[in-house]
Amino acid sequence: MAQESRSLRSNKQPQSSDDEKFDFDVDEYEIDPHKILKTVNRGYPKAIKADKSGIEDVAEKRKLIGSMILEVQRNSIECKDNTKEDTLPDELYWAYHKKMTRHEARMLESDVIQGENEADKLSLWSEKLDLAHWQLKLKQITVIKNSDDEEEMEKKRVLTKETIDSMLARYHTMKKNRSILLKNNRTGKIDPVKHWSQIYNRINRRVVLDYHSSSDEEENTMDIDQIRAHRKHIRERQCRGSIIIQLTMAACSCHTKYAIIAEPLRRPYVIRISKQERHRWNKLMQQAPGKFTNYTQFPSQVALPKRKVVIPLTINGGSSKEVSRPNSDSSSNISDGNAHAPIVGNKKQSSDALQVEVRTLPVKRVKRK
Amino acid sequence: MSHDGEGLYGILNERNIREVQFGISKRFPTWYGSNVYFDTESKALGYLEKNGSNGLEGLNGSNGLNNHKKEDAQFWLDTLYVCEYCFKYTDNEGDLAGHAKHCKYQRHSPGKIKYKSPKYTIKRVKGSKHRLFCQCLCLFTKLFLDNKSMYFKVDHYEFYIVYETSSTKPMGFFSKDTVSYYQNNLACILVFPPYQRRQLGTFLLDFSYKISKSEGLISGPEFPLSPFGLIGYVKYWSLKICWEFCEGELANLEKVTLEDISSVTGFRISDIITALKYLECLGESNEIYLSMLRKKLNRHSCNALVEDEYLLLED
Repeated sequence: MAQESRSLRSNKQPQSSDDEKFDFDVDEYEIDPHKILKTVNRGYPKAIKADKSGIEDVAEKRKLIGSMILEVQRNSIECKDNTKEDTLPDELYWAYHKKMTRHEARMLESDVIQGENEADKLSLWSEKLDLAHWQLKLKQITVIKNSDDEEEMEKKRVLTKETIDSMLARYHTMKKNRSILLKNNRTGKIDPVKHWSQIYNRINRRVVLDYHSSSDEEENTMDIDQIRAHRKHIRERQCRGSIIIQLTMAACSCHTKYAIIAEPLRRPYVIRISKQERHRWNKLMQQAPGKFTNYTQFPSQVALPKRKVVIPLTINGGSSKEVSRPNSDSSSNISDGNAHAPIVGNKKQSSDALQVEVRTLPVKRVKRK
Repeated sequence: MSHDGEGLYGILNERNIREVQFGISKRFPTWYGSNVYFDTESKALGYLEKNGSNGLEGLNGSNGLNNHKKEDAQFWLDTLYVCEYCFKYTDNEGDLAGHAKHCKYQRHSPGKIKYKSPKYTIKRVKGSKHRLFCQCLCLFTKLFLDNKSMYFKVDHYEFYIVYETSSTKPMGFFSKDTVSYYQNNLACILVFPPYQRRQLGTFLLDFSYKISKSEGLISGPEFPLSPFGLIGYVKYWSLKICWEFCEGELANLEKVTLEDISSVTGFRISDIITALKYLECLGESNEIYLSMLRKKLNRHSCNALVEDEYLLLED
């Protein structure tokens, strides 16, 4: 199958060099998205906006599709009742479809590589806009009216950087989504046991470790409420149970009118609750373990000086003295005082009290006369 | 095989399949050509080449020569036989007839239910899970769309297929690229010829925006749009904007920004501007004339919109 001539996209080059540049002088939209538009209740516009760009071909396309109405004919072919086996089994298509899938994958691969290169190029541009000679780079990649106008240059530098950053953010989101799709990819997956707080939100189910959704067939005969209940049951079984938080201003929870519901793999939502629901939940709570105990009094915490280590102060940064350092052999020799200066105030927690490891710098005391 | 002289993959300048036998009772002509069904050298269906056939015979050895009309050089195939449940294809009538009894999707349509009203059901089918079904669906779609370019590498696409709730026959679908850079909510949409002009296109478009809104995205379709796509979208955007201003969240507001309209509808700013122009409701200084919107609000079309109570997006 000679397919070298086939390509996924047009390879036409841009018309001029400015077509490739960021252009912030042209408004992105004809109407400013933040501009307040008045709504007029009565009457009709005296003069309709003459600018029809974007919809000029709608009438033309209308005519075209008017002529494209398909005549569907009734044409029955005789069904064969005597066939023991499927005459179009899946295997029949596998070889050809596999070959064509590989062909498309190759075409896509070049797009992926092109995307990588584009992202690298954008990252480089972004870095160069932070360097000393950023003006030169800006002129190459952004349309500048007057390069002597410092205000314009600075403004367009910021806009260019923001645009590049948003493009890169989009690109990385796309890459992340692509990696999620890899079936065997276990990195970055959410374990419902370990990361339970993340489970109570709308997340892509593909990132949940070993999550299997309900099968296609079992829901076909159910109505919508049964499907909802069935899916909730599966989510709770595979992840965690739902959390119900009754909202009340009163001390007695029987006055609750609303509740926050947190179901696994869904955004939490607020509902108005009925008396029956309230009583049912309160009954369930009676079998629940005892309420949390508030520990209001904490044991007193005392900072104790553990030991003092003298840090040598030398002008050249080198030291011939031996310094005892935490977490190291006391006989270790330090040649660079700056690089290995011990950290001041290294905290260590002990069971009886909070102990602070204190470092003191040598201070020359001046005696008062 | 060129398209505007560029040889784009899968696209032909002219039709090369005369008509489609869709299931055992429906037949209609194609709109566009496609070379991806075929081995381009022998011009026989690709899977036949792979299976040792010469491309002119059916699988059961029945002579398929009648199906390859020699007198008309334009057509590579006279009739393509396609199963209306699973979209498997053949050039042999007997093979489709033999398959009809055995098609597993006749009993159970694939995918996970994402919407179920008494009238319509929408199922999400993942390309990675039902690969052959989605590949065959894409191949079939090319016969009615001009600018489709992906047929076999369907792993990162999701297909949302609409059925009548009591049936397993697909009536139309839209696909969505799950790793799209632009985070488009729709890649390709088609209502199959026997089910066109029932406002299913509007229904599917509305559903595509329900998905992106539930994900917190301002989104829209992948460009370029086909003629049907453009008309369908402009009509849908206009209908939705009219409805929001007359009866929805934007009703009774004296002042509004395009950002407000965007956050309520989930439409991109550029698409809102296109719709407002089409509705001819903008005055000289961009004030919005509600009387124009009321006049153009098509009550009948509002019935084609998705009803939130039947959505199963988060479940």
